[in-house]
Amino acid sequence: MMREDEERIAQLLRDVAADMPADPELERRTLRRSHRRRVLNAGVGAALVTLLVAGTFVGVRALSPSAPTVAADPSETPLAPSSDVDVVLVVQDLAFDTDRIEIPAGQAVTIRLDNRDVSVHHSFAIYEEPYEGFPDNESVLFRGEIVTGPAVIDYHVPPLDPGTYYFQCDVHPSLNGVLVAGPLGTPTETPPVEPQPGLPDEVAATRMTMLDAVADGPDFGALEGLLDPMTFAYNFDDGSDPLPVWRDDPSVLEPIPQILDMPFYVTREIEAPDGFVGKFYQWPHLMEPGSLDRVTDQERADLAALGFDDAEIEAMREFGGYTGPRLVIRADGLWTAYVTGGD
Amino acid sequence: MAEGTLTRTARREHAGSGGRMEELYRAHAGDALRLAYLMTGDRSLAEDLAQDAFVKVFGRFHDLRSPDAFWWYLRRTIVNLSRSHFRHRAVERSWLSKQSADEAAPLAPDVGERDRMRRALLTLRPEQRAAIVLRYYEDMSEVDTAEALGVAVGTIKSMVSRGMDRLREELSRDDA
Repeated sequence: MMREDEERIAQLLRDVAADMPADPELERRTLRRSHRRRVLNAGVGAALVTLLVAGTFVGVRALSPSAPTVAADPSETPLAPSSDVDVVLVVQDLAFDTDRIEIPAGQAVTIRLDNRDVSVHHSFAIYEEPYEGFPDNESVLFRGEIVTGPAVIDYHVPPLDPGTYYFQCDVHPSLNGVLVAGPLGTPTETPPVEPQPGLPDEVAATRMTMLDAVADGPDFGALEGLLDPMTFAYNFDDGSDPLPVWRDDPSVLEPIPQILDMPFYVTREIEAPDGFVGKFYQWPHLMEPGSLDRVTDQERADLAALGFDDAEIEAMREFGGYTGPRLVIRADGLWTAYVTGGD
Repeated sequence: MAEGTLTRTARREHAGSGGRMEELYRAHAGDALRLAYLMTGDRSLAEDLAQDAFVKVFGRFHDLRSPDAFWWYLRRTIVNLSRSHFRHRAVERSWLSKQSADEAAPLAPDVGERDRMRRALLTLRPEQRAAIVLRYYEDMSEVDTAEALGVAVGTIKSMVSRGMDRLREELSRDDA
């Protein structure tokens, strides 16, 4: 039940909002951009995953485990990959043979483009962000020359920082995909799965299942069983169900072992929209309201371990709370939230 | 019932029956623009932000036949984009300077209180403003607001409480 002054504020908010007129021109612009974005996304989804791993380089692999991987028939490969080539990308019938490439971060790599489309121009370029129409010159990290098929060209890509990037054919930007630069070829150090004291059995079980599920490459099926996609909260604008988003970019799950290894904060009893009433267990402990009002040495060390520098810590303090990766399990064991950052 | 007389909820349900992008846009554009305006206080910025939000959600949201979920994600996206915008303090300061200049513009006589409220909203920190707008304009619960902003429920309570105190103070100063 709202108090009188709350009602007044609510009414004033409605009054202010009513001051915003609709603009018919905005509709036309928005729908035009939206149509373009959906066409782009459809193109990405349709591409088959067929990545040829060159020589003995085991750090390059297709990331989508459910997608078909077609063994290369040497008779169909006009130019076998040499040991100097890290990735072979085939373009045929106006489609790349993969929409995901993974390369090692911090190393120059050679990406071979095998253009099998007769009399068709293709190229390979890497960007920081997906394009919004024409190729974005500001975010381009690598742009290879255009070749007319049939032809094979080796692109020498300079070292990239760890991260997720975007690749495309500049001639046909609807041919595109995700390029992940990561620490491949060396096994990821995973913290041991240790029980934490003070957790209810249901919460402890969910935590342990989650740690197991992300230990050696995400077990999406196990993660799916821990949450309700209709109510699960994650990074805001990434779709209706977190699983497809995580499958697209499993790197977002990487902080989970680290934050679950930190102390947790327990809320008081809260009523959730589904009628559940109980406590919520939040990792890391930095989620506790007011915990960053005065940043202790321990908190500063914890934040540094999560990759935050002094300026970012100060920004959090000014904001009034921790904004880094965080995860919530409620007392009945339901995993209710995982947010990797401010966005 | 004419389109213009449908409630917000009814319009969202109506839009879902067709499931097409144009229908979804027309059903939610007004709400999206108003929410963006409350979050930013700037009409042109609200238009840009709403447009970006629609493009993002249309691009990501593969099943356009779920109108309730569509609005849910659109709303979160608008809130998120506005927060991202204001996270850049320099941009915010510049924008506030512009707002101050705009305040010299003449106002219609019957919008006095509304304008005081708009200015009072702008005195809040962006996160506080988002919490107040979601709680009292979108009528979201504290739990939902916390989820939408990615903070703890206790933080929402604190932000709303402090934000309301600030609004009361600003409005009572104007009333006086």
